[in-house]
Amino acid sequence: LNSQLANCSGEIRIRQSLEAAFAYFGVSVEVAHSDNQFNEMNMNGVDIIILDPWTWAAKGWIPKPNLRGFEDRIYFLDFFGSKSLKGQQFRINPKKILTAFKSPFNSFLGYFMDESILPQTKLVKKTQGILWGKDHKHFHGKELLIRRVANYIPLVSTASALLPHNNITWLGHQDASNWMKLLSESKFLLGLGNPLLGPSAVDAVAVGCMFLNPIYVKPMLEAQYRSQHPYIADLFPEAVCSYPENDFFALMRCVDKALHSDLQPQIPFELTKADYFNRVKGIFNL
Amino acid sequence: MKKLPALSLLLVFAVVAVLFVHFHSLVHLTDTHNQTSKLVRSPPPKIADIVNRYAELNHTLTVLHQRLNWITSKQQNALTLEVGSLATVQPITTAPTQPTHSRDSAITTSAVTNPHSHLSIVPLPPVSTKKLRAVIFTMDSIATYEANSLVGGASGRSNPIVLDFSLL
Repeated sequence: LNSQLANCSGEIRIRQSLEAAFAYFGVSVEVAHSDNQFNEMNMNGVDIIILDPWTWAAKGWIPKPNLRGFEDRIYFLDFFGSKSLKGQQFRINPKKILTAFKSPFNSFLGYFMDESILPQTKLVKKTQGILWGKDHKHFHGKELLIRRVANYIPLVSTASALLPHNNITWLGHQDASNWMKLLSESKFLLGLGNPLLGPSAVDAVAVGCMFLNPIYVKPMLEAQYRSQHPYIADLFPEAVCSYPENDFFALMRCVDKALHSDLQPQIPFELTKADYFNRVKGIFNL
Repeated sequence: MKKLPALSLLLVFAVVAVLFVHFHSLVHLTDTHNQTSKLVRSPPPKIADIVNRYAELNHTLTVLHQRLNWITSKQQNALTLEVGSLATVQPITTAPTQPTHSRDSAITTSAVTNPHSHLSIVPLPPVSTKKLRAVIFTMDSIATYEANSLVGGASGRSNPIVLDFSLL
């Protein structure tokens, strides 16, 4: 993935998984790369139209002209899910909104874990943790907490250098397979609150790296999310340690637990290629 | 006269049997006595021993608790499998149990090569015979190739540059 797209790498993974599934089922796929390209497309003969909460709309939050009359073929990729679209012009069955993880309102699409980027051997763990977040904005307001943890345990980050600290290594951007390798040889992935629900927490557990999951003081997205990754916390509680956000001592108890754990790699069955492809087949009636 | 050897033999056998039972009970009593004596003679357990025993028990309970959690998570995934209507496929959600490895050892042996090899066991669904067409147009599909195309885009977004997926 391009490092400049770090902030939407989750969406890219969702889309690329869907493209792979469509290719497998023999569905011919055309991806529009600009507004102009999309606006010129004729939807006659198109069976499935995949949009997101922004790309469907023309000015005034009304459906783009070439979508009118084809509403029954439209599906929306919405990472977190929602009850409805913005505006009043396009009423859609919420079940046709497809989410990255589970949502009470919508259908679960998800993605699949690409086996090719998973380490082929179980690597020896180093006594280190990883800071989750490639963008500096994820660390704002967390600097003190990070420093205090780094005083006790080596930390690495895939962001560019931010805080000067002898015990923090700023690696910068890593490609997908190096990212998985880094997780595989680390004891824990330290969530700091953002990004919400990113696939990285699942990546961590998939290679036996404990995810330290902050519980929000103020739940996110209209109180829908009480912690950074409730999906993986509910699914594999032994591989996740939740701590109240900004509570250093609770966090250090989680760090201690991670350092003394020997976790087996675990992948949610619903994120395996087979189950994902089955889900795609069901959703789109392929 | 012919009965005499037979009776004698029977008598000898009976005597041996009685002696055997008697001797056995004596041995048993002696053992019991010894054990009792040991119990009586052994000093009361030290506090350190009790603490050690408690620690062992606590550790055992912790391990059991961890295994219970692991089993619970497996069951959760087994449920997912049922929902996924893959009844013929084994619910493989976790890596098969592998030997514990020393933290000092180098990359592990071939016995644990590819901890994710179990994933490929699950068969993919049958390929569709339908000939369908799909169009995908999402923010990240724009961002992948033409990040600048969003500036002043005609889609009516409140913010023309919507690359800030700030929560992701």
